[in-house]
Amino acid sequence: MEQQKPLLEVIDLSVDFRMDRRTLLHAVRHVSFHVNPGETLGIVGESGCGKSVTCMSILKLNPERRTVYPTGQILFEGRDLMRMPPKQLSAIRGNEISMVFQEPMTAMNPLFTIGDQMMEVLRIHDHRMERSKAYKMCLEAIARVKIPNPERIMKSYPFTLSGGMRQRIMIAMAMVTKPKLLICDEPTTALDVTIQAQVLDLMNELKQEAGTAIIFITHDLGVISEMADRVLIMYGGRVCEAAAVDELFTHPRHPYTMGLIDSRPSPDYQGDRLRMIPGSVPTLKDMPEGCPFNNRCQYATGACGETFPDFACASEGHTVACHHWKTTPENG
Amino acid sequence: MRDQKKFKKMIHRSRDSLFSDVVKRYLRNPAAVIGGVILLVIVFVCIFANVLVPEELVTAYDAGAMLSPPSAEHWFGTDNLGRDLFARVIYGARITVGIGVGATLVSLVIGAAIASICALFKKADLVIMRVIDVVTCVPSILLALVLLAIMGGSVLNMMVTLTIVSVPGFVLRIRSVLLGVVDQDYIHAARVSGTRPLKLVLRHILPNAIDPIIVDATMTISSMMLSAAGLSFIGVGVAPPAPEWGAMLNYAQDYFKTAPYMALFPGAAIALTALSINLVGDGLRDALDPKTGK
Amino acid sequence: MSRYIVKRLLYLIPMLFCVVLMVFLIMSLTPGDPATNVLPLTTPQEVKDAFNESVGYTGSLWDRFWNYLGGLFSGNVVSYSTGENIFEELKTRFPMTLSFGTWAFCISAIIGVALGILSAIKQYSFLDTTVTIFAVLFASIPSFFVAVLLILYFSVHLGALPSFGVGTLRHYILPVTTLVLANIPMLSRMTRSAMLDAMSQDYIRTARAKGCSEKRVIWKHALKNASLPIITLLLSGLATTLGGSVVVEQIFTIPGVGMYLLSAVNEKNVPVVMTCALLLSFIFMLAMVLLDICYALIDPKIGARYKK
Repeated sequence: MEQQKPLLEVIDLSVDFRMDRRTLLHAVRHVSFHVNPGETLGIVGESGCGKSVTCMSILKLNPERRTVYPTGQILFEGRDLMRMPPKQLSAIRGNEISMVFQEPMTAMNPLFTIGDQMMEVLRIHDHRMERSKAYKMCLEAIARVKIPNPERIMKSYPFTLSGGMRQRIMIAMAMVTKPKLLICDEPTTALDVTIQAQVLDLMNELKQEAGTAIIFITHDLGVISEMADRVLIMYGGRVCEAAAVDELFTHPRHPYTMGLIDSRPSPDYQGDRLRMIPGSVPTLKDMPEGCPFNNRCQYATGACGETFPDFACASEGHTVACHHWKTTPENG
Repeated sequence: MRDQKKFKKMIHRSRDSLFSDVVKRYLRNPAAVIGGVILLVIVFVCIFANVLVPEELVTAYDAGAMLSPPSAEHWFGTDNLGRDLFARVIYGARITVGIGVGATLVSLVIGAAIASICALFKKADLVIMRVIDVVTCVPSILLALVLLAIMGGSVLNMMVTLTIVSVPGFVLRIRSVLLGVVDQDYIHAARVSGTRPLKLVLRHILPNAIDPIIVDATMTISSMMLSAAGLSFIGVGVAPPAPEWGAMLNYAQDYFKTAPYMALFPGAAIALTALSINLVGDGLRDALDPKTGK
Repeated sequence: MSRYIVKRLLYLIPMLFCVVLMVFLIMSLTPGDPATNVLPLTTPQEVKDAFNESVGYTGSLWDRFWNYLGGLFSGNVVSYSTGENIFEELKTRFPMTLSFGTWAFCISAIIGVALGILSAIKQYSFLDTTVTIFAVLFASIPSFFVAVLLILYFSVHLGALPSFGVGTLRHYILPVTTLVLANIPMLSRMTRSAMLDAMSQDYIRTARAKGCSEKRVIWKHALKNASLPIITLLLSGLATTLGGSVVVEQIFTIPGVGMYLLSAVNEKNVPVVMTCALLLSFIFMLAMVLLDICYALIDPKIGARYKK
């Protein structure tokens, strides 16, 4: 199959956090993936698995002082964001790559009006843009996320809006510059379930309209099955499996992925207990050697505690990092 | 049952490790360690002043050696009346540190009690806050001056004055900490299950608010000492011949030209003591709450 | 908003009344009339009575209190020790304190806030460490000892600057420096932590993600949010600066309100103490009203509350 040129390519990214002079925490280790133009990549994992850190690294938004990037390249349309001077990176942030964050309640500056903050995005990327034009574009963007009375919204302050409203504004703010890539870091986690569905629909619509590629981070497999074209499963700072969304749900190869899929309730499930993955996510400090999942994995052998498995190609576009992927039962 | 026991053990262990974490973090901060060492030395001097220097020297006039500069006999020199400045500075530590610690402890207890009432009872809170509104409008130096003028200058009166002046501030600061704790779910739970107010405060609220209060109290000790010295310096504080450091600086003013060391030693003593306490306070804050501070 | 301000200002009247009453009651706890306190011990009783009459010390405790309040409104309150009108005496003294205080306030505000912002931006840099060390050091040295050191060096040792009195601009240098050095530590530390706090908020990350330059992030998004705690400290520091004038005026023998107050307290000169208390409290309360206005202007959430 002919591969189109990816929009974003993350190659062998590692991220360390400096805790104090002696301790370095390895938050992300040797992660590689790519995003094609117009496609939605879902990144799934439990909290602390490094999915947010990975995405923050794309725009280098991790706390600057504490973060070290020992290895890795992040190629956006062939340009390496990792080694780009701050000025050029600023020109890409918010313009070609936008972000929507998890916490809509704190993500907006409380002291400026929505209009101020939204027009700011447009006008820092195009200094010559007139106020009136920026204003008009913002009105359109707000209308596009289906908020009535945009003029009033432009004049109001964040504290007057509900969480769902704010998150829509954040999406509008991210989309107003018509970016090529939108990174969404658990955008619906902090919202009510009904609002969640609305926001997800909205994002799908926007994607259809504008052809924007999306990286969608979540810990919710249900959301992923609705949103994503391809899925990346992360655990303990590593990618353990990557596949197209249907393939992943029907033929999971990694024991962790199987565990995730098994542990969610399905409508036709009649038993009295959900299956669960034994144990809990180890903290970054005591991440085990080798495959990070080995201490919770029922198939683990000696080799799992020694080396991290190489990526194997299970089928077309389906890679898995497990020593035993061939021997595990294919369907959980 | 066994699970519960295990659980308790776990909590206990995590608390222990928390304490040792605090100690570890504190010891990793060189400034805090230096401050702590100096403070220990000062406390040692306070306790064993009478072992270090005979007490008579504090008020013993040596007419033959007035205003003599530092020497082997008088390490810090002598003052205008021929009193040994080293002895006076050493015994002065007792007064200044005593005032600082004493006034802080008393006003801390009173402040915490009033603040707890505020945090628990809405109506009492309204009344108390109105009173504090008025009291805090009077500049504290003015209140201290007036109180000292009425009571006269002595170590005890100084402590009473500083206590009165600093209680409102303590109430305000502790109250805001407590209000943060009172709103937590576990306090609601304790309340609903019928815990009595006194037990609620002592068992549930205060222990969870203790960290910032400890840091606050530490810092208050040094500011109290500075205030006490300042008031003595302008002549309304501890009356002579007590070797209060601020008062000693006051007498020294007349001898700036001939005997500057008369001012330098007591002044340096105040600064060093306050510095050590501030360093310890900073260190405690960083150690207790690693998120804030730096 | 303006209605709210008027309301706040009107609210000051009962507050000031309480302050005056409180100071009056505390001062009245001391025994002795002005004549006994001021005149020599051997003065005959008639002279004493006449003196007491002349300064308005007559009648019961409450009579005196109402007398004092009446005097306040007619602009004629008499000092126990000199028999002069207190307002006349304050007319020469208050500008003195005010000018020293204003200089000290402005200089320390500019330097303190600037140092705080710089050390927050360049956290852990050489500058930050230096500022932090100096802040801790000068927070521990009492202002009177700083004054003593300054006098010892610049007046006694170098003979370069006058150590007492007023008159020329050179007289301002040492007292103002003392007050500035006393104010800067707290200011710079608070500014630094307010800035750091603002910089660690989520909306700063959003601003960066939007493509704001680092300068814009700091000066627009962080500073506006950090300005509230900074202004709070500045305005409440105004009162401390004026209060600190008592010590500084005493050291540098500046005939301002502080010295006036100190001698009045020592002489149990009740009307003078009360008037000074009134003046200082009034300034402090005005500063607090100003602070509330600043909050309403900067924070839309608070502003919205007052609009109704």
